[in-house]
Amino acid sequence: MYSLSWLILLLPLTGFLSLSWFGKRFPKLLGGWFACAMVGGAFLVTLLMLAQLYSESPADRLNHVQTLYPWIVSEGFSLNLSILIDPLSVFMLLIVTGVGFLIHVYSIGYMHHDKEFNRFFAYMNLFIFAMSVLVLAADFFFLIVGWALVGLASYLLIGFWTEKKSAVLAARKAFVMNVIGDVGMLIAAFMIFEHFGSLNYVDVFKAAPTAFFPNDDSILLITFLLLVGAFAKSAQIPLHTWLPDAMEGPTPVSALIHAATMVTAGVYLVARCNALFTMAPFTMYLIASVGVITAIVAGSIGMVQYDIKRVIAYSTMSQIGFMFLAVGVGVYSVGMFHLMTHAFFKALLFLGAGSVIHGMADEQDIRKMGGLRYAMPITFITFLIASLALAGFPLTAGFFSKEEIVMNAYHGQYGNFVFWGLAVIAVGMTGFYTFRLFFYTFMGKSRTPEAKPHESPLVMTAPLMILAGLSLLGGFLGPWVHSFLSPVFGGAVPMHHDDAMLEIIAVAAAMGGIIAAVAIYMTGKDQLAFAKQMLAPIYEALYNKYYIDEIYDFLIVKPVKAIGKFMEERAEKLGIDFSVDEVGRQVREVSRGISIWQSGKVRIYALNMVAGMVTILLFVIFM
Amino acid sequence: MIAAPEIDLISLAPVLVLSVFTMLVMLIDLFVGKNKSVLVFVALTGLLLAAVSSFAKTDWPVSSFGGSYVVDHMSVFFTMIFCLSSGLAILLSVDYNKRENIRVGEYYSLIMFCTVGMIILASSTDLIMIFLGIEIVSLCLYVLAGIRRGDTRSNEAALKYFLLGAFATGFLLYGMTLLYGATGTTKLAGIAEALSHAEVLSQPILVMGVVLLIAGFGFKVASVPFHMWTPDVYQGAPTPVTAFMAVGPKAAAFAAFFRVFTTAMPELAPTWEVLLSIIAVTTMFVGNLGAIMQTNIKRLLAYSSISHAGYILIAIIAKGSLATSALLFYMLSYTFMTFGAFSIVILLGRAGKENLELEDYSGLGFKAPLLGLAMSVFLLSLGGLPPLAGFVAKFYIFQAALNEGYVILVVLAVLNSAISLYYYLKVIVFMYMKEPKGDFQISLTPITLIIIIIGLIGTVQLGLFPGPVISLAHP
Amino acid sequence: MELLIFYPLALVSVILALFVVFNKSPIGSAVCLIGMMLGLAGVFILLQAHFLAILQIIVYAGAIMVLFMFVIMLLNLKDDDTKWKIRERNIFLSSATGVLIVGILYKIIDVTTDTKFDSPATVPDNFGTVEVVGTALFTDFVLPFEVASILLLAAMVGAVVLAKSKVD
Repeated sequence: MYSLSWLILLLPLTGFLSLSWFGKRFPKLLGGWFACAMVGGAFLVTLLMLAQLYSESPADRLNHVQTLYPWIVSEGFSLNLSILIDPLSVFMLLIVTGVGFLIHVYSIGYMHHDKEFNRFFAYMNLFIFAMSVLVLAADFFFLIVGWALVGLASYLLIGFWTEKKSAVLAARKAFVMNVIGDVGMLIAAFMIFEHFGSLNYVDVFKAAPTAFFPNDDSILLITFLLLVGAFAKSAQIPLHTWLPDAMEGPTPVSALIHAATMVTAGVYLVARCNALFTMAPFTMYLIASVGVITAIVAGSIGMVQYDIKRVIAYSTMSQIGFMFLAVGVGVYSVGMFHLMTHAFFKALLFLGAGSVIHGMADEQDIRKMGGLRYAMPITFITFLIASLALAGFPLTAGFFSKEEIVMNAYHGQYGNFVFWGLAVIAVGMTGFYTFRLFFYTFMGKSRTPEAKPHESPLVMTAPLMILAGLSLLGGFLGPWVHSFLSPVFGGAVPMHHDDAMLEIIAVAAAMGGIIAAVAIYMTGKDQLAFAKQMLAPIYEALYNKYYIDEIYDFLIVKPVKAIGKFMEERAEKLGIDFSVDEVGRQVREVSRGISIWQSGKVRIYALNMVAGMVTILLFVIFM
Repeated sequence: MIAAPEIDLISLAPVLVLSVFTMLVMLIDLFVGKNKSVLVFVALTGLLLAAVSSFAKTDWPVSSFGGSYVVDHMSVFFTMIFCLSSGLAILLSVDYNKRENIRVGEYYSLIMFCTVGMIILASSTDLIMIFLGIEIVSLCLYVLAGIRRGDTRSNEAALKYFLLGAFATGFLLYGMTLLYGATGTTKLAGIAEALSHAEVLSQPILVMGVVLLIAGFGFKVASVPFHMWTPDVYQGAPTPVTAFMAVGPKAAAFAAFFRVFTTAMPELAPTWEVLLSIIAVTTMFVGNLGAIMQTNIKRLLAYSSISHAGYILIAIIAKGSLATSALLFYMLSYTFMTFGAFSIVILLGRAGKENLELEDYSGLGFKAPLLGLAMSVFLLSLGGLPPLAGFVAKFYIFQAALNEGYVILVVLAVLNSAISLYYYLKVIVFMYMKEPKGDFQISLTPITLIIIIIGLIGTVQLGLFPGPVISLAHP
Repeated sequence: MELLIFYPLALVSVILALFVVFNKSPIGSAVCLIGMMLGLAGVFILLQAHFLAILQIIVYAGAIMVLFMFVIMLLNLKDDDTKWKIRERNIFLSSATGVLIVGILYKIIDVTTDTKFDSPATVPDNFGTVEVVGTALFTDFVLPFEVASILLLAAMVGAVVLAKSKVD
């Protein structure tokens, strides 16, 4: 049965190859459905794998390595074309192919008018293939191959509209950032090979606990270099600036790559290498700190954005920060659980946003939207569900996973009060920006009356409804996720912490964020009626203290805006972007210098040879 | 009484066969009329027979002529590479020479003379033989670079190459002399034996000799700071000659470089390892950074070949049997991808307009999708992307170095591979993402098609199924 | 006794070599070069390499330098061409190289001052004779000797290719 697992890779690859070669000859819709079928097939095969895993006892579910072909065999080293089936890879694949399939279907509607419909689906299949390589890799080598391939697919898809200058620039930026990460991973792989004499997960992870002392220099360096790759791919501070720009790509791309799957690869990496990270508690603190800081910073920037997709992009960064916080404090399966729920509701949010953009004729500025609840009822309801899940409204999917993270930020192995406090603040921010976005978009009256919004076709709304169902109910999968994944994490199932106090505070923070958004964005004159009807009790209270609005404005909104603006302009534009641009500029300078050195004068060349030789000689003699 | 010399002509079979055929080419040239295509057949037959006759001795290693000539798996494998690259160069020149009006008789015989020199270079275990081999190769290349006498760039290339080459030869010869002075022998085995005595090893002129040898060989393989001739000469020389120069003679120089340093001077390794490491790293950086700003495809490939010299130097540093097979594998894959890339460069040119700027490649991917794809494969393989030959080759060399513990060197090399992708991808971006400027007038002849297909098969085959060739390259 | 001859010979050779570089006219440089070759031949004789000394005079001072002179004369240089022109220089690189060379010389002198030169190697009686050189060429070095013929043939072909009067 496991030998069928190669189909998971082969199907999307077939889709990519045939669509990119014969794409022009395929009828338009057929190409799209063909691509969907490939991904759907991969999903079915993954389900088969899941069933097969379930036929075995939990301890036997690990380390099913399927070797297709011994690629390089030489003395002391061999490299096999092989894949690894275990609960973690199957779990991740379920998300990748499952959510991927829904987004593929959605894209058929969304990209309907595009001239290069089939090229788009070719790239999408390439991405699914690349992501499957990344997830199924049985050694660090193919992990890096997959890692680079998803970067390539992301580059191609961000820059899909090649006539759009900003998209091309954004694609290039994403590519450069990701290459930084790839180099980090590569060096880490070399160090791993040096220490373990192998790149296979099975060998490395088996040897890891005895190969190092905790917080050994070399394990710290290895884990740190792995993290460079993880942070670059998952857009964590300080390698995060490419993600908001990546929103220049088509919206389904944002949903698939920049929300549900690729950007969470960093979390997957940490979870996959948990045997290594466990040996490096310092690195764990670093992961948790970076995660929680990213959650706060990205959340605060998200509160002042007006582009619908950028808000969700910053929200993605912030949520991935939560995931890193979870794996950083040592509860890997909680991180994976949030990864799953996040894939559901964030994909849904992006697809909903895509539906809105589609309906509004490519308008992305939320200040020009409003009142879409009547024109787009399905999108409205699904978007509301996604927003609730994202904000962590009780009993939605996001509520369960986020609560667990917040609880473990305090009670987890590496948790402490600071992590918990910052996480709670970030939870509050999440509620706020989510509903700010929601109210701007769907509530009130239309701010551009000339626009004629319309509901999207069924091929787009059906995935929305399925994802909405998952966003509502996915949270109840929590215990299953933990028990299913526990063999990978050494049999550990995260404990449930009965700490009502912390739980209540966290829920209150989420509610507080939502209510703040309601208070600020629902009390405009044109929205009074609706607010009265929806939130009568709260509205009463707010209405009576209407002047509070000004105080809010002064105490909360202005500082928050200022902080967000500051973060965006200073930290990003001047700090990180500047350094990346500067590196590029310097490299070009050096290159030009080398060209100038190449003067074309033979005498100078000869002089250079002599000078070089004399320098070498001097070096040797005095060495 | 004079002792009878030890003569083993069977070991020399490839050299003899090829020399005979070279002279045949020159003679037949006098008797055939306008149509010179028979020369191509004679030349290719000669190369093929030379390749076959290198298996005349099979009980490797066979040392002959008092230890100055050897037939071992390295020399045989290199002979294969040389015959292949010369054959490809000759095929590549057929259309080009017609287009550019180059007299073919001397041209083919010079390439074959050059091949004789390369075989000698790869099989010699005597400094004098190595010197003679290098001189044969260099002389032929000086002339080949300047064979388009009406073209000033070609003249410039030839003159520059000649002047600097003569200069470098001076270094090399001086280095060999000092080595001889210190050890009293020119045989590599003898030198190694002499160096095992402490009083020989401590002589200061040895160090001078080693450095001069590095300078001399460094020039031939185009490593920094002896690389300055490369971009100018590669650009000015006729394109098939450029392709040939980048592969065959370079491989030959590396063969001799490798042999001299690993068999004659393992005792001195602590000295030259450090030196070569520094040279390798600077070579990679200068090659890769220099290539980034280039707009001429031949210059770009010239810088790329400089950076590849840096990677190959790592094999010499790593020594050992794994390094030998890594070197062999690398040179073979490099042959395929370089000839492939250059064949497409030639294909895009026309009489009077060579189309060598990157701008001229705009939109090639749409106008001629298969050519664009082939070019992409070659460039990506040069950049070392899996699953192509260039990747396996680099991987193999890096692994040889890792086994010997040169982690930092390998890390820097990997970093350089990442940098190099930038400019290889730049060409691909031109091919696929820019609007074509003018019409492409591509006349794909069967011969060029054959070369491209050979290049493609080699690049993909060595990448996907490297096993058989690796076991061939392994002693 | 030997040193008495060696030092003047060596000094003259070095001075003439410097003149080759610093002489204003190409012809002057060439004449100085001939002188330097002769000086070197003298040094070879001191080392008992008589055959090599004769070859040095016949091949370099005789054949090659005469060829040089012919070429310079035949080029039929005009007045202002008979002086070397100062072309582009890289003062920085040149001087840096010079300084480094001085450093190396210093180090070499430093190392070699301890070496004792008072025990020259004993050489057999027939060292450096035509017979010994010939024997070596046709026994130990027969392969290089023969390979040199390929080199010469290739060089001839190359020269003909480049020098043919008809440019095609």
